Amino acid sequence: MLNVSNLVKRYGKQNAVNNISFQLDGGEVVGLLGPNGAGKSTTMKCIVGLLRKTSGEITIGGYDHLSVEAKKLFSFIPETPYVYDLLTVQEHLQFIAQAYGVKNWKERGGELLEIYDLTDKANKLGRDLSKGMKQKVSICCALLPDPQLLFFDEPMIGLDPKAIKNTKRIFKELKEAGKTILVSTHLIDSVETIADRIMILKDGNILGNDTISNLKEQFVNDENESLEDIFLELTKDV
Amino acid sequence: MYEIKLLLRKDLWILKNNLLLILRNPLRLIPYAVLVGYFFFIYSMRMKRRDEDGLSDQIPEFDVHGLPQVDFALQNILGGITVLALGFLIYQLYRAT
Repeated sequence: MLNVSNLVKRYGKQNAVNNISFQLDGGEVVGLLGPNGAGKSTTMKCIVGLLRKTSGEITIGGYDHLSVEAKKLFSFIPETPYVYDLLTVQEHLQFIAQAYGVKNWKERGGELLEIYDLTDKANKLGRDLSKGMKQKVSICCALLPDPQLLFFDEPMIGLDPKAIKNTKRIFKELKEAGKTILVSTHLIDSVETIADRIMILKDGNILGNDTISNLKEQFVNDENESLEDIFLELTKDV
Repeated sequence: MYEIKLLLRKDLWILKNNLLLILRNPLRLIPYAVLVGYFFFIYSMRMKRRDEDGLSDQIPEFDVHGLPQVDFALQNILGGITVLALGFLIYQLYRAT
C-alpha cells in the first residue's frame, strides 16, 4: 500500500530524515515511535506531500505520492488541527464530502459527529471550537471519505479521555475493516494493543522496525518488559 | 473546473457566515460606517468648496512671486491626522473581521 525507499529530507545541512526505507502492506497498522525531533512528523509530511522531500521515492497504492490517484487513497490527520474559522462543523464535512465525491455523506457524517460528541456543535463555526474539538473535526473529516490508508500524526494530543478512548476504538474498527494505518505518537500504550508493527525512529534513522514480540526478542532479556522499555532502550543516548 | 467551483462554494459559505455574524452583532458595522462617513464628508466638503469657488469668482491670493499662498504647516498637520485616522479605522476593520 505504501512504499518508501531511500527517503531523505534535509533542512539546510541537517538531515531530518536520513535515507530511510520501509513499506506498509494493506491492512497493516504500524506505530511510528520516537523522541522529539526524531523525524516522525517530517517523514509523515513528506509522504503526504506537505513537505518536499530532498530525495527518495514514495508510492501509495502503486502511484506516486503526489498524484491525484494517490491522494484519493489516503487521509492525513495533522498534529495541529487546521479548520476554517468561518465554516461550521457541518460545512466542513460537506466540503470534504464534495471534494472527495462522497455520496450519502450526511448519514456517515452524522455517525461520526455522534461518535465524537459533536452533534450539538454541528452549526458552530470553526473559530468557536476548542483545540480538542478542532482535532475531533479534523478526524471526522479524515474518516468521512473512507480512505484505504490513514496517517495520524499525534492524534491523541488535545483530546479528552472519552475522545481518546473513541479514537482507540476507531483504530480497532479501521483495522478490522482492513484499513492501513500509520500512527505517529508519543503515547506508546495507545498503539501497543493495536499495532501489528512498530517503527522506532531516532535522529532521522529507523532503529527498529518489527512486531512487538520480535523487538522484545531482539532488544530485551526479560519477558515482562514492555514496549516502553524497548523504546527507552533503543532511544537512549549512548 | 470542479475544484474552482468547490472552492468558490466554500468561499460563499464563508461569506454567508460572515454576513450572519454581522447580522447577529450589527455593532461590527460601526468601523465600516465611520469609513464611509469619512469619505462622504471629505467628498461633500470638496464639492462645497468647488461650488463656492465657482460662484464667488474671486481671484485667489497670490504672494510676491505670483503663486497662490499655501500653508504647508497646516497641510502637514491635517495630512498627519488623516493618516492616523485611516490607520486607526483600518485597524478597527482588521479587528472586526
